Amino acid sequence: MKRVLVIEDNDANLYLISYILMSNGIDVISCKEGLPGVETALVEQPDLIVMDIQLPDINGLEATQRIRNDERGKDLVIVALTSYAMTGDREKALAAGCTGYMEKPINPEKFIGEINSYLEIEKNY
Amino acid sequence: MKTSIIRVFLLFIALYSAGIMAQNVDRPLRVGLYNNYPKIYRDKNNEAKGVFPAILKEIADAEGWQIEYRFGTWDECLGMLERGEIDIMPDVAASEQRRKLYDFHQKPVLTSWGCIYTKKKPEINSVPDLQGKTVAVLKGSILTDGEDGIYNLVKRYDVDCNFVEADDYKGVFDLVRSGEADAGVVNRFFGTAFDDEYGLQLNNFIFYPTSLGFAFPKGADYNTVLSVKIDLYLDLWHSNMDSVYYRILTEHNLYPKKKMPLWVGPLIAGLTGLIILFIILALLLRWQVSRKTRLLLQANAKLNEEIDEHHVTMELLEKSRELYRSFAENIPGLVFMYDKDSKGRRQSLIKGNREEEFLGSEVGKRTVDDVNNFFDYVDSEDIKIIEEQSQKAEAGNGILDVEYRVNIDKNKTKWFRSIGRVTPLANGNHRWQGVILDVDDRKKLERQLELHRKYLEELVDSRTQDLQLQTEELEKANRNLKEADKLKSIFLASMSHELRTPLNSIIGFTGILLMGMVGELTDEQRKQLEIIKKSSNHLLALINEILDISKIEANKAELSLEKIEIKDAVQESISLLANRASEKKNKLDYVCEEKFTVYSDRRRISQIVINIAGNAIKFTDKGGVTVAVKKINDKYFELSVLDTGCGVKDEDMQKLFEPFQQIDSSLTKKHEGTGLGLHLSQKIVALLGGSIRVESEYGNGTSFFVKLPIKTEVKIEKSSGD
Repeated sequence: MKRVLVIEDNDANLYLISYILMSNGIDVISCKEGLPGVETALVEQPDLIVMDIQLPDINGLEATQRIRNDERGKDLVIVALTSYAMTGDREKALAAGCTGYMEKPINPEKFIGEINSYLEIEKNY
Repeated sequence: MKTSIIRVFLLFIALYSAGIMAQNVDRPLRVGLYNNYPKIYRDKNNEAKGVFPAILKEIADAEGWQIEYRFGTWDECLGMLERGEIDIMPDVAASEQRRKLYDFHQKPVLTSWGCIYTKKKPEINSVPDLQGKTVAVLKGSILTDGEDGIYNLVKRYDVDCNFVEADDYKGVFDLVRSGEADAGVVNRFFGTAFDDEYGLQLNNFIFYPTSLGFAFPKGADYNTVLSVKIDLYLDLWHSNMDSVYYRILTEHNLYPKKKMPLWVGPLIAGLTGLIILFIILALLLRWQVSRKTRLLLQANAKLNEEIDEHHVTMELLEKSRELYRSFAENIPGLVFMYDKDSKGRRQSLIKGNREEEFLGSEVGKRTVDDVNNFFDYVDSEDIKIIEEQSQKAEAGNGILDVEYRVNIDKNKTKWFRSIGRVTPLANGNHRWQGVILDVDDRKKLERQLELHRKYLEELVDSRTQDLQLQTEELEKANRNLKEADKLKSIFLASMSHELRTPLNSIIGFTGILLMGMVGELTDEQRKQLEIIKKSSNHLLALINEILDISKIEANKAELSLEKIEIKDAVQESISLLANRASEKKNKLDYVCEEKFTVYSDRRRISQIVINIAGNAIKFTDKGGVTVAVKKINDKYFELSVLDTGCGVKDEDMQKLFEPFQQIDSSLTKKHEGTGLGLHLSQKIVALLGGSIRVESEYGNGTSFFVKLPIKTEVKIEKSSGD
């Protein structure tokens, strides 16, 4: 069973993402802040991390950098959640070490497809 | 006498009978004139003079002929005669040779012969004496080449000598005098008249006596009448010793008036000697007297001159005094002149009478009494300046120019100006001279002017201050406005984010429900959820566009520049519109004939294409939309969107790019949209460094032309905050 770490501070979004993932038979662990998220990621070694950009303590980009700076976080698959209108967020996300990005707002159908494809990447490692 | 009268009378009768006397001269007679003094010559006034002209004049006057002289050399005149250009040629010797060429009258006017002159003592006594000499002769003269002329004479005697030809007799004498010729041949008249002048000697040899008279052109009309008349007069005159003829000869020194007895000469000489003696004595005495007189006159003249000079000096002095007085009285100022000693005491050198007029009665009187008093009335402040300036002048360049006040009386002060020059005197004093001018009016005006100037300055200052204050306020207001505008944009940006977050979950959960992940839905539930989804998406689009615009306005928009295959990139955007076009049954064409790369922001270009082309599709009901991309030049490419839609009225063109302005409000329901698409597109085009242009004809479609740089310059970008 695949395990996905969702780092998202907004309850409604966290619930939405978790619901979609779990409905598709994916195990979900979650964090609502950056620093605990980094710690969880390093310790739990999830198959995929869904990282929101705006978080209360440190933002998603910094959190990603911290994970990548740790030996344990080098190979983790991290997907950033970016907003449509925010030019540069995608580039910044990739520069910070994210494997890819997904667009908010979430279109459930498209979302699950993308999640599955990222999990496939992980398989190939 | 009697016989001649009878002869003349007989001649008259003879002539009348021949009809000759009836003939008359009816035009001016042309007469040759040349220089052969004293027989014929032209005087300073260009008038014909000499024996021949005089005789001709007498005859002409008596006969009523008019005479016109033609001047030339002897040769030239003979030429004229031959050609008939003159009617009469005077002073011609009638040789056999010449009688063939010209006609002559009978009676001689004069008798002439050739003479030989030399420079030194007479040496030519006969022809052989000419052997080896150089002889000057007159060209064309009968004495030269006539039958018995010198040429023939020499030849006859077989004498060998050289001849030099001159144009006139003066030329002949010139040659002899200058030594170029040893001897000269002239006629007797010229010789006697000029030998003294040229210092030449007459030799004891004469030749070729000839009769001289008037010549006429061969066979000319007037010849008969002229020769008859001339002969008539000459005949008449010859027989009378008191006649005009002899008077003329005498006048020209050719005929002695009276012959003196032999004793007359010595008597006259003796008398002359006595007279001369007397004259010398008289002159001597007169000279003595006149010498004394002259000396006396000289002394007298000198005295008179001195007296005159004195008068002149006195006059000048008087004039000078008058001038000075006039000057001092009329100058618009008060003249001063005083000596100042080392203690500062002043002694006036002139007595003025205008002090009261100038300085007022009190100061004036006191100044006249003693010039030192004047300074007591000068303003206590100004007197210091005067003292200071005076000392400077005495020590320096000697010039003083100072303005000061004088207390004329208790209530009145007046401004004066003193311009003076100081010269040091031998005794150590200083002589001051100059003029005091009344400058009161000017000073008062100056003061008024100064006050006015100050007032104006203050006015300008206060105005300037006001303006500065206003400018500052305006600047402040402007800053505030900009700040507010920026704050507004920042506020909108963050608000958009806050609005979007809950919208994300609305859209997300609606999606889950519609997917049936939560459970089966009834048709009604599905229909309502679709409405929620559609509204949410519309809301999201609005929020996103507001966010974009706000960011651009707040200078927070960032560009993501990269190399783009523009043909493919635009194709991609158009494909997103394909559904919308086909829903409205519109054609959507894309034309791009050239593949090229641009350096730009892919997503921004896509936004432009989707907004404008989407708009075009929205407002086109019949026909289609054509999107085209082409290179304009090395720097720009053009993205055009042409539709066959309803078009835009001219007056609505301006509104086209304004936010929330759908042109026809009645269309609002028909054409849904955020109302921000074109406004945003325009902002993005500007952000990319391009421009946008619209052409439209109402009812006949609209064309948008977007001009964008092929290589977008990176602008100053600020960090984004989402």
